[in-house]
Amino acid sequence: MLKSALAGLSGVANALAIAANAAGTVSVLGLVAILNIDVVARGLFNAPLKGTYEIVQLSVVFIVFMQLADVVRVDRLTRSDGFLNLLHNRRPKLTANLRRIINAVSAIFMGLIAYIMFPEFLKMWDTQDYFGVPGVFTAPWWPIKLVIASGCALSSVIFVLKVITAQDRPQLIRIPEHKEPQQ
Amino acid sequence: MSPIEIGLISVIAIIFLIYSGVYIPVALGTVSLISIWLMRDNFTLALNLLKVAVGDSAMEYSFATIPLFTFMGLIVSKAGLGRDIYEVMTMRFRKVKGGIGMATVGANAVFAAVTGSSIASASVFTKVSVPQMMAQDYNPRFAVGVVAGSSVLGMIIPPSAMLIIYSFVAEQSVGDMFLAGVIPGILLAVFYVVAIWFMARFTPGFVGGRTVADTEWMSRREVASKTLPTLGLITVVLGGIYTGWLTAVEAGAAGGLVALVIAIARRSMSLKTFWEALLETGHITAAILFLITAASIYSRMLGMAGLPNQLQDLLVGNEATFWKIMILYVLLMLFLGTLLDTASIILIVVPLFLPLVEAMDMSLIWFGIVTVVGAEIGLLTPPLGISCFVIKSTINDDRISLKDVFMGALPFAFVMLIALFILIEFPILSLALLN
Repeated sequence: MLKSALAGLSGVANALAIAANAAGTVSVLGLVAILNIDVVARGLFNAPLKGTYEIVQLSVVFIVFMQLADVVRVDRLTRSDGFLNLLHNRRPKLTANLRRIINAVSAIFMGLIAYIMFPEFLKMWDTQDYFGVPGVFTAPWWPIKLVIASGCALSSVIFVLKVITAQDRPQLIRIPEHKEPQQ
Repeated sequence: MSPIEIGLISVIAIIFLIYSGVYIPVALGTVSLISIWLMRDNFTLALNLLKVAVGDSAMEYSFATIPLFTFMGLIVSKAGLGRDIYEVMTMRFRKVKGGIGMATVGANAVFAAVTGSSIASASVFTKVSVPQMMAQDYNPRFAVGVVAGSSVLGMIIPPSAMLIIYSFVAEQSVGDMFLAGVIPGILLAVFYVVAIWFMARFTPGFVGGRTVADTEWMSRREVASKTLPTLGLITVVLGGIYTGWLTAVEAGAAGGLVALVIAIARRSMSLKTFWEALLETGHITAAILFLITAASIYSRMLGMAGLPNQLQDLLVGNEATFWKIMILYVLLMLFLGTLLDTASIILIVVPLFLPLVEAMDMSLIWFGIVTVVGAEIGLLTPPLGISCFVIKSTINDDRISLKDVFMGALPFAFVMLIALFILIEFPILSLALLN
């Protein structure tokens, strides 16, 4: 019962992470497109695109916090695990528990960010506050706060799953791993 | 405890946690949060700082350089531009003893001008260059050493992810950092070539290899088709920045588009590899930028503790000479480089030293180049030289052990160190191209 609940939760969390990842990935493409349109419009027609600056800011936040959960899922958050790998050969159990502790701390840290960002989202949603230059281009704040809060919350959930399953890559559904850059 | 003591303990705790395998952004963020809490005895204040740091630092316009240049580099690697340059270069250097090694360095230097990552360079050139050197009876250690050594150029010659990261920490313009990296990068490449010449001359046993009699010259057309795409890309990116026509962000976007057009024109890009490149870009971006966000909390914490100023008083007060300070700095980076990746070293060390550098009236841009080159030496040194690991895992040949890669890379790490001291002594090398 508990196991199947866990499997379900893990499946949902992973699916969400992958979906957010795809959305973040599309933002990369959007970023390339909008900047090039702006450069061409400015260079050839002397008519720079309005709001490019704000859209670039937005899309960077989107890329980072949409992808964060997936980065956590495939264990590519920056770390130096040379010591852990060495220890694993001698004391596999101790190492597994160490990894659990590390993941638990990480879950708390990510959860904390989500916890302090969520009220920000609610505030911005209520006030409909915006950034940018009024009259030229403005964008509301709330999507940014929402993406940060939910991205961190999802990452926190995935860290919790790693603590429970004691694996750094708890994958109940096998998904092809993204490959390293290669020729 | 005084804030200074708390700050000092935090730095030590962070390094300890990172060494024991805690995710670097988590280590930076958690320890900084706790120490701000202790210093001010106010948890809400610490939380507010975390909120501001995460919310603000993610909104930086120039952060867009990271995904854009990563994207461009990945597309260029997949389009096979590295292999092409390598082929043209080997043709030129074939008759010289150790020439294929020099060609690898040269090709890496050119390839570095279109990618921002040493990891990409290392994996591309391991596949292209090592088998060919082995076929010509070169010493395997030399073969992998050359690739490891010259892969470092990827992060010194612009566009470079590390120069971008430094420019965030030190609040310098990304474009200026790029321009500053050009001459030091070329200098290092030249040093490598000279070092290979000396090695071939005086320690032929280490180099090995035989000169090849058959020199098959490519037609001009072939040479052009293999070099022009890369040269075009370099012109767009660096030319755009140098003339001031493009900002660094725009240059990244234009470069990404041009790279994509080249890849499509050569039919070396399927929809699947394209999507993979995009995914990879997203992962790298998220990992790096989250690290930078966490590091910004850390540098706020350092500022509150007054640690950088204390360090400055300590060193200046003791009338430490310029070279004493620089040697201390280099040693610190070498020490951290044994286990940490370059980005983390920069993010941990630079905030500590910035006020000192400013007080000594030194250029922050020059300091950035010194930092990046110094931190990059760690890519080549055991036990955790990331470039060496990439080469070992790419090569997939049991005859070459990880130790061989490290031993082969050692002379190149030494050459880097010499180049680093020259860059420290002559800041003009880093600053000449700036307007």
